[in-house]
Amino acid sequence: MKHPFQLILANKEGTLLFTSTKNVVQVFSTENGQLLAKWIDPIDTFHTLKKQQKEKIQALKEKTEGPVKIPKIPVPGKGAPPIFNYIRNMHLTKDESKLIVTTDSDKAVVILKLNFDNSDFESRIVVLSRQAFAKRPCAISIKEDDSRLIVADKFGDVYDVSLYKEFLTLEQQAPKKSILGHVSMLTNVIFAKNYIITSDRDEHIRVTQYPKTYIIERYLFGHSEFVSCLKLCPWNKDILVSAGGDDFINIWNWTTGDLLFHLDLKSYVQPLITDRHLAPLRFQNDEGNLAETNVSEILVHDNKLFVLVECTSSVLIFDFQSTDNLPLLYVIKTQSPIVHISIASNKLYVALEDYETNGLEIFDTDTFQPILEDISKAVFSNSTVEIQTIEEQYPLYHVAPLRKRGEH
Amino acid sequence: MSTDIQESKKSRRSNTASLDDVCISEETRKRLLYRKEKELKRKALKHVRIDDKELEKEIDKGVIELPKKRFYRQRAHSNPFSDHQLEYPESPRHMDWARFYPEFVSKDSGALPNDKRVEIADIGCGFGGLLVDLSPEFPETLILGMEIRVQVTNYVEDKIIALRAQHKGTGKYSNISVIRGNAMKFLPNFFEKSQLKKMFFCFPDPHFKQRKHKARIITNTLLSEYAYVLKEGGIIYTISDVLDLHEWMKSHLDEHPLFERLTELEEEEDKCVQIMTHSTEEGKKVERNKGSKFIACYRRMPDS
Repeated sequence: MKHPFQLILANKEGTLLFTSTKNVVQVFSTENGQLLAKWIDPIDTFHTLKKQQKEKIQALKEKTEGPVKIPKIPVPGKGAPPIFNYIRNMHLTKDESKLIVTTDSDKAVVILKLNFDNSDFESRIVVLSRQAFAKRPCAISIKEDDSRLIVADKFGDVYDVSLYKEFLTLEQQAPKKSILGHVSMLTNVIFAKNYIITSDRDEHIRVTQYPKTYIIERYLFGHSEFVSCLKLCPWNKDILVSAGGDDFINIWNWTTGDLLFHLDLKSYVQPLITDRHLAPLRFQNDEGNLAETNVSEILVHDNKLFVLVECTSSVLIFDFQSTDNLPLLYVIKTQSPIVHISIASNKLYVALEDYETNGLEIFDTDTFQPILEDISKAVFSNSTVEIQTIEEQYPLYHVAPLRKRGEH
Repeated sequence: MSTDIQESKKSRRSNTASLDDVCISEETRKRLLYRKEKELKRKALKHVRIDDKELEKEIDKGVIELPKKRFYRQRAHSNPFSDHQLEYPESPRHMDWARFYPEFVSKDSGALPNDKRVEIADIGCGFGGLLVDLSPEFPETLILGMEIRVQVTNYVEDKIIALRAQHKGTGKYSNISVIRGNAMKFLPNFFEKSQLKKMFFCFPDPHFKQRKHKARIITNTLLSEYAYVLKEGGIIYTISDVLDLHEWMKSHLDEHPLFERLTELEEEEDKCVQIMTHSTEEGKKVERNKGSKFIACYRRMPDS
């Protein structure tokens, strides 16, 4: 059986579809569904442990003379949480010459050079640089002119990395000094003009000047749960859309700090709730019906707002012609729950939790009807990542665990 | 079993101690009883004007007694990264400060006057010695202590209630208050941009291990947040008995473009420095042990 796609990303023209499944990036043509290129992250899950062992041996050698006793690599015991080795983020530079991914294996940012004209299949994706960070990168953003990359990590720090070719080496040292930070896990980061917008697990959205990142411009207060999605409006870059663990979406003018619209999702989300949205037992209410929904992706395209609520089989589409009111336009329904969505040139790509033939669907963003079914089927059948049993599957949904459970 | 005891049970994360329990020690029983009694009083008196006539009955002589510190002991450290059950406003505009400074509420509007907002913050105020000594020095300025440990915050609350009751009618100690909170995470939820004139960091947790350095209260990324809530010309006061931590705070403040150290003379002449050096519990302890105290004060520079 096939492993579902975990992340999908269409290029601007809509001719290519980048997908990530486990530790594999695959690029498909959306004209014929062919697999154009593939990159497998070579780092295994024991990489960090092996590295630590090497350092320990080195330290021992310096300390003691003669032969040293080689320390063992710790083996996770029974019941230890499994280590997953997946690709968490995938971003294309504006000129589409590079694909930037972050990995969980060695907590690295990997810059990949793309060249699909190369006749050698293996050389179509080449690693330009791999920078391992101290803490796991959670989100990245690329400056408009493709010159800088901003990396936000799990510990709340944000780093500034150059994207110029002459500064890139294969095994690159990650920058040591952060340019700004929260005391909270960062969930998203956006480069906007001369500012950096960051969001965290503690409901904060912060606007900081760039490059003078020590000056905090303002906070956008309005969320009561974690914020997981930030998106700028492509036709007006002053407008920011934010969502997360709340049952609403906020629309801001981030340059003034004004909340322009509060889009209540409650009534739209209610019919989508399944057993999979029930709160964990420890935090469940007496009736056992407390459901928690989280927005896992928002896309802004062609005066429309596309909203994916995690682990549902629907995409909510709102009319985004003005910021005074966003009426519901349509609800796209699919056969199985949606893992991720991407959009390009009036096509909405939908990755589904499916193991046989229907792992991808394509919808027209004007008529909202499924299109190009043969191509979407071809893409998924050309995916090479197979699993034997469902237990081998990597977790598909990451947003729900961000919810805070204060204990004392 | 009363819910108060249940709560205190929960907060101590222990299943063994309750008043109904036969096998608790006499000492624990005494402490729980004391805490319960104080909690009732605190609930009644925390947010009210103490010299109101109707309250006279409620203010028995027990309130005037200062709380006993030994009933409020708690572990000295708290993990600033964990998700505590904290109460904090959604934004500074949502904060009802009138509840914390009832004496300053204008009788006509029922709210604090517009120009009355917190202007001095003591971050990690501990047992509140600095608050109490700053209060008479700035009688018209609202001063807030922030403390992350529950029992310690309760102690400071009880102490402020007792002091207000002892001086009822004079308005003394009505300008200080305390909140349980995590300043490293939620400071901007409480204070607007450029709201504060002074911030105090007195004897912060040194977090000696290198891997714990991010838990220190002064880091270059947190300094940007302090610069955000401080107004231009506002001052950060730091004091520590740990030389290593003092050097750390100094180097980070020196490095930050928005802070400039006060001259030696300025530091010497600042009355807050005097108070800070001698009034906190931690400072007194250092004095008893004949330890040294290291002071560094920095001014918030204009954005450039």
